[in-house]
Amino acid sequence: MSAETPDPRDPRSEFERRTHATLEASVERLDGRTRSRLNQARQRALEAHAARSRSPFARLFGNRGLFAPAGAVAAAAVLAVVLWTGRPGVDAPGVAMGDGVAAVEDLDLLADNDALELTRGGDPEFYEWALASSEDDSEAVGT
Amino acid sequence: MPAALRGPGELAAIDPKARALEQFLASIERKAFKVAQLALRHDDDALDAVQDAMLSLVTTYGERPSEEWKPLFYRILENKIRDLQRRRTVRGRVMAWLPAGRSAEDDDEEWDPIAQAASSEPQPVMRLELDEAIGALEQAIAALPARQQQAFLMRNLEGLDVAATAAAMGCSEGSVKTHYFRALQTLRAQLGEFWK
Repeated sequence: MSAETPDPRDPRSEFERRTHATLEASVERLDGRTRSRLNQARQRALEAHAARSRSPFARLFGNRGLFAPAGAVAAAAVLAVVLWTGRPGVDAPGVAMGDGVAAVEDLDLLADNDALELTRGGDPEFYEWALASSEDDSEAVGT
Repeated sequence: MPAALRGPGELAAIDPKARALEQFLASIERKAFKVAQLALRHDDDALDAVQDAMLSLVTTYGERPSEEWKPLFYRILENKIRDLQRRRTVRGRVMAWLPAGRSAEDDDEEWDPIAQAASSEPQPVMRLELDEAIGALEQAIAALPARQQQAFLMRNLEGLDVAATAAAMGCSEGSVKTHYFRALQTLRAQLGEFWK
């Protein structure tokens, strides 16, 4: 294999120049099928670029990397809303917390047959006294 | 004509970024294929790796400055090559457990009489010498350890400088110099007689 006259400014050794020239020749001799498939691959990549350029999101944000933090913020916001609306008493808008608890207790009363009997035939004064004393006890415990 | 109806070629003629990308990809695709071919020793896998790398570069880094494209592209390509090599290793282990018979690779390869036919063009002595030189060099490069092979091909074939090669390989410039030096030593030892 004949070597070209070396350029004195070229810092590469003779061996490096030869290997480079040989590899270049190998690249130039790629067959037509391979060249055609490389051309198709390039066209597919450019088509993907064209599709991205047409996308309104790509026009707005430009880089796909920007979508990751935006998506994370959106996901965090959705999670916060779900957790907040899942709290008891918040399901019924405009209803105060105490009223919401009372409504749940009423449902328990209706579902319990014994409790319903007590409200019908029992001593109302006794129940008022029992309720007042239990509230006093709970306040004493809470303090 | 609305932009939605334009093909990639037409868009490249209008959009400067698309035109720059097309020129860049056209300038590196053959060398990139050679790099992948020497690493994978399989033409179809090499084409897949180059195509995937092109798509990744264009969709993920297409908006970056064009000076960054080459090291980025080769970084992506090296990752694709490693992925394919890992997949091939796993496939090889699975195939070893299967009963003997035709391998999956055999199924992929269809015998093409046109591709196998000898070329009708004359083979002068110079061409034969070049064929031998290419064969010997590529065989020696393919036998290099992966990092030495990467450093050698990026520096010697693609002409990347040490800094760009380090960016593409994801290592320090010192490592690039070491890998490249060892690759040269090995190749000189193997091809020394041949290149005299």
